[in-house]
Amino acid sequence: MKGLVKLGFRNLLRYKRRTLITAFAVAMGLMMFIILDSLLMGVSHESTINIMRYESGSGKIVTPAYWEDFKSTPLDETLDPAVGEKLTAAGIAWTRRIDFTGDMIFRGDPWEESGSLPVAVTALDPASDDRVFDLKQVVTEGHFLSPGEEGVVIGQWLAEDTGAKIGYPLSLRVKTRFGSEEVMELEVAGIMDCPDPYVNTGVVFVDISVADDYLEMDGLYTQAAVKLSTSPQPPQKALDNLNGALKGTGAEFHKWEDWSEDFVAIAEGKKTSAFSILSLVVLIAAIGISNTVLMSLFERTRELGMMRAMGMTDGDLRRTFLIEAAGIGLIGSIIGMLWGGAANLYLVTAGINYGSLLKDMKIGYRVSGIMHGIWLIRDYFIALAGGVGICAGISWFVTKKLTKMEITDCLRFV
Amino acid sequence: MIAIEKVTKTYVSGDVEVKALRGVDLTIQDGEFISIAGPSGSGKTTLLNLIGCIDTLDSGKILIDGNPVYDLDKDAKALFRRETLGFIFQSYNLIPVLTAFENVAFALNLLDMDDKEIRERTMAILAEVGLQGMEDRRPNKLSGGQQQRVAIARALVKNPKIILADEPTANLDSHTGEDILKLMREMNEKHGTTFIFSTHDRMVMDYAKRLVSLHDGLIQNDETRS
Ligand SMILES: Nc1ncnc2c1ncn2[C@@H]1O[C@H](COP(=O)(O)OP(=O)(O)O)[C@@H](O)[C@H]1O
Ligand SMILES: [Mg+2]
Repeated sequence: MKGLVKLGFRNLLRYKRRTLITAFAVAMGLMMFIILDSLLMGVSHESTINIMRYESGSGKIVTPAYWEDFKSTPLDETLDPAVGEKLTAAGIAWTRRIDFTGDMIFRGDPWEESGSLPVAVTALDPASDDRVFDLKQVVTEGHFLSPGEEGVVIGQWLAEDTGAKIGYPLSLRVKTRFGSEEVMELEVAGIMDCPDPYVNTGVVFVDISVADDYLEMDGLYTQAAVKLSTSPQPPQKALDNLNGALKGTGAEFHKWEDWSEDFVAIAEGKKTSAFSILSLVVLIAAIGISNTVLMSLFERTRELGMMRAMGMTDGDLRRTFLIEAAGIGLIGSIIGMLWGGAANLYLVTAGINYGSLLKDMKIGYRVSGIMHGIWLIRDYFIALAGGVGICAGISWFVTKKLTKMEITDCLRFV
Repeated sequence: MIAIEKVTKTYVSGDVEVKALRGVDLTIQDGEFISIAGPSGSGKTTLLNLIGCIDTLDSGKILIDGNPVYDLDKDAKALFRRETLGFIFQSYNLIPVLTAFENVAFALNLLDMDDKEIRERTMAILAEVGLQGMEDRRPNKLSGGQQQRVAIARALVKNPKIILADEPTANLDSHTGEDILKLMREMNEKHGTTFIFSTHDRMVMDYAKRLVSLHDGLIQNDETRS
């Protein structure tokens, strides 16, 4: 029938306060959803970028046997030097690396405290590392390693934990390729403020030729890190080019996410929490809107009885309330989108500073200091469609109560 | 023609059974101006609701132009009401958010008539009931008598066969009530619409051309007047 939209609109105005309060409840929920998803996705995005810049590049090439056992960083699973040649020939940005573990030992003058600490060590090639990684850019004290330098570069948090300063001597107790013990005598050359907390707290970088001597690598290395693009999803063409170069070498490429399972697991969990926020929104909207619709059902019972007597069908009646509820949902969604957008603007530009709160928490995320949000246009569509849809759906449900009531009872209702 | 045959209706609320109608037989011809009179609780509203297809009877039959309306399903009844019946109630029951014009037009919206025709018919009927110039007022800006005029216009605008008015003057002072009755009678004569109205007020009964008295759910008296 005609005129239902006008009628719905008038009734929204008739109960301005209630309309607004319900719309605000819907808006609150949607704003929470927008903010949370923005932060979660923002943190996840930033983590991805940090992993690529400071840990794995677009990914790393290793032998299948190395990959089998990559968590124990086997030094004897070295790459065929032909791999490097082919990468260079294919025009791919790459650099060689050796990951291993050791105990960082610091004692005596000038250290204020002495001790030892298990650390991850990465031997890098100072001449080509910046083709893939951005470590050089985050050195804030001292200098980045130069080829052949008997020094280390460490993160600021590790420096703070140990009291390390530029020029301090330290030892790394390591195992060579053949399993014998060796102690590397080095000096703190540079301290970096790396945005990736994993690197900032627990990785020691050394020059690859120095490591080569101590570890008896004979010029061989275990990993070739490559940069295919700055995007987490490299273009298919670049991947094809890489696979072409690797053909027949027996080496295999593993993307950055394969090297950071902890982070990927967290990112999956994040989807669950965004979903639970969404269910919370549904719940808030459902309670608010069903209460609102019920209240106006009771207040308008006689008037509705009259409309039914005049020949309005149950379908018309339900559409009337559906329009009203959808109107509330629309107002709520728009307010929620505006609030969410404004809050998100702050999250994107300023971010939330949580200091070093999470420094010692190994939560998988690779952000430190400030959490930033990002713009997710799809969330605004979800908010709009969700807000309107939920409200309309709930009203459809609640109005059933009225259609079950006899018209004569509606008319006698006072 | 409305044929009411042996109609009974019993309400049950809790353990109490109330026999609202105990077997009513009544035939109403097209164009009648008939009053159902009787004290409070005698079954007037129940009878009007049954003729109006908004309540269901327990036994007996109600035929409107041969159509067994008591037997229709819910939606079919709604369609029948929107085309054939008009309602007027004691408490006007206008839609408060709509203007006088929109309240009357609502009856035609239900019939999905085109806007131009809705406008013309609505303006014409509002003028007929004496509300020219008040079309844009909402119910709360109208007196009781004016609101009941809107209700009459709303019932009449679709040109229904039958108008059912349940104590249409009970909320009005006697002077305004008389005006409303005069208007209803005028409309009855002009449009040939059947008017069935209930009342327990002597003065109102005097306006009826036929007076049916109901007592304890039974017809006690049925007299046609000049
Ligand atoms: N829905 C109902 N439930 C229970 N009793 C009802 C209901 N409607 C009417 N009654 C009873 O039926 C009788 C007739 O009522 P009604 O038709 O409203 O009389 P009138 O309109 O003449 O005052 C009354 O005793 C009334 O209390
Ligand atoms: Mg009554």
